[in-house]
Amino acid sequence: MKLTTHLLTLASLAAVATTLTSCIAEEPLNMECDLLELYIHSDNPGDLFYDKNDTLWTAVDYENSVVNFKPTRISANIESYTTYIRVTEGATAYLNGATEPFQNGTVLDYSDENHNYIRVVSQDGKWERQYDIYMEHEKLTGPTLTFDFEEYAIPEKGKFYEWHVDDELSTLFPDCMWKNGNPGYKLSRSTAKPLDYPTAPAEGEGPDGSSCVKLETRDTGKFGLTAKMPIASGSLFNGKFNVSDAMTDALAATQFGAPYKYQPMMFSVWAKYEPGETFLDCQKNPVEGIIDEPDFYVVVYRNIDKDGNTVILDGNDVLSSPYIVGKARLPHNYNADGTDQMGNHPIHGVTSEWQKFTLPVEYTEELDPELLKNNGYSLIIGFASSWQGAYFNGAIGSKLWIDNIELLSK
Amino acid sequence: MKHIFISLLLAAASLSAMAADLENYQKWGTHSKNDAQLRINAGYAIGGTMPMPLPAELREIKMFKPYGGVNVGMEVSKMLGSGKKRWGMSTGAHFFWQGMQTCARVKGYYMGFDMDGEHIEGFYTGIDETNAHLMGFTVPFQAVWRASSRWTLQAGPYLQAYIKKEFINNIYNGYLRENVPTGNYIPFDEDGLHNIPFNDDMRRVTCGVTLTADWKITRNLSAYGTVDWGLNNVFHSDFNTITFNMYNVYANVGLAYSIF
Repeated sequence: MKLTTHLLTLASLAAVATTLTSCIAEEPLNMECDLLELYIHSDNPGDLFYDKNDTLWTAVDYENSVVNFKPTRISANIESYTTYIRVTEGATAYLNGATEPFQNGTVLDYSDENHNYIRVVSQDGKWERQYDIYMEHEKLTGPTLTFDFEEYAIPEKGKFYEWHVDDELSTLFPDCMWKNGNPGYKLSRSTAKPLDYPTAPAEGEGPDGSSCVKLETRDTGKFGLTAKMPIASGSLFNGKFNVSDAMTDALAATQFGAPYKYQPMMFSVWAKYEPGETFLDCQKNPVEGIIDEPDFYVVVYRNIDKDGNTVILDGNDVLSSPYIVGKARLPHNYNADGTDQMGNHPIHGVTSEWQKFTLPVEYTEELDPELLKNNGYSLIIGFASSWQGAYFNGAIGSKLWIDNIELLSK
Repeated sequence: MKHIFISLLLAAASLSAMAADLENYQKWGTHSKNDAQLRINAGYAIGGTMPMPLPAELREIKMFKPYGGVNVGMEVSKMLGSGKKRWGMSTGAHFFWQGMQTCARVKGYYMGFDMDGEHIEGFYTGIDETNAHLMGFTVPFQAVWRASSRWTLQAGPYLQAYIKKEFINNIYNGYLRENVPTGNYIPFDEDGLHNIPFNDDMRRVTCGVTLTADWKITRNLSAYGTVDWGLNNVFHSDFNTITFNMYNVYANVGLAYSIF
């Protein structure tokens, strides 16, 4: 009897223990349905694109469902090309409403800006998204660029303002718009109002009473601090902002510049500046004796290296890359070794009153006219409310207003 | 037929055993004339706050480490009836300090983070580390059954009140799809997001069922094992940034001493 009771008691305890260690359930199917890469095969990719690497399209913005190849050469004869895609593991792609899955190696017609649509369905079958795929010719522009920032809008479902540029600038301005760090700020401050973003319009505050752009270094709050990105400098540039990198590698997230066919000579902009009160280091600790400074610059760089690889400058080397051949930048103090010197005697000369700044673009080498014609040089036009903002150094509340940009080239 | 035969045999065996055991029951029973007992206990607590059953989104538990693990308290019980007096009831108060650290790999786990009024939510895939610390009191209300002269089983509901409650998450080496699987892709490297607190979203009081098995080493000293199984979600019902209900399940083993 004693044994039976013991066994009964132990059995009940064992039952409890077994229930505790519940088994791991079967793996759920993937829910994602992204088109990650799209590659077209052309026998002469150099005849189609200025940079033959542009036959590969890679997703940088997972919310965007447009596969917009870089504009092709004006002379290119766009035809049909064998197309290969890579999608999320387990997902299935369908072309133009077909019921049979898309097979890699299918020939798609890209001529006359023909749009193809690929629908990607997730492995679990519950999610899908449709991609719009097309190719278009580069458009011709003149040698003078002007921007007055009078037009801006919040896109549908958007949370912050965007500044679009004319269609013919689609090469210099990917997605035909100015880029900034607002998409990154959105991750940390989802409740921010459109005008509370680091880059926002300022209606009626321009030098002529019209609208201008206000860049303001903002606090990214607890999320930003947790992600080791405690502040966000206001920014404005042409290029791409890779939101996917914003949380992990903020410097790499800003991809500066795009090809330009002219040699920039003179850059001018109207600007005024108010530094924020307390300069903060990247851990958000106040630093005595440093006054925040704004920055703006024009950079011209070679966008293909000697091995034929594409070169894109990002936050790490936008002003220091060996591929830079020309530069115009607001003056700053530098140490003897050439590194940036932060201090309390700024020499940039931007005050709280509107002034026009004219900076000549200085070159370290002659531009190769053949390379220039073939989009071998990229141009960056960049602005920041905190010149060390890429490294999360700066003062919250530093404000840079800019308006009426002009870039003269030859 | 065979089953009935075995059952009858068992019943007969236990009947005869019961008679022979009466003396034993008295020998191992309480000293007090009114069949009341006051016991103090000290034990080691181990367990965790976990979703139940484990959701499919949980792919791998890479690490589990218990924290604290103290359970001390006192209990009063009273045995009823006559003869062996096998039935009784018991209540008391146990102070506990317990917790856990788990490191799990999850896939498409819907979660959200609140910080300073800011909010991000979506489907997270990657490493999710949880640190839970709980300190408080358990008040059990148990029926007592002496399974044999030396084995006692107790079961019943309990209330648990927390003096300190901490539930902190770290997420890293993964990514979040904002709101929907087709949403913004937000990757997290090894630094990830740390110290995401859910403390304020936890209930102050929870209830559950408790089961205790106790074996008498001497008449006054016994070894016991208890399982406290939470029956309500540790988070407030309006909290939906963790979509699974999480329950506190802790076991503790230790020694109890009867003062009278």
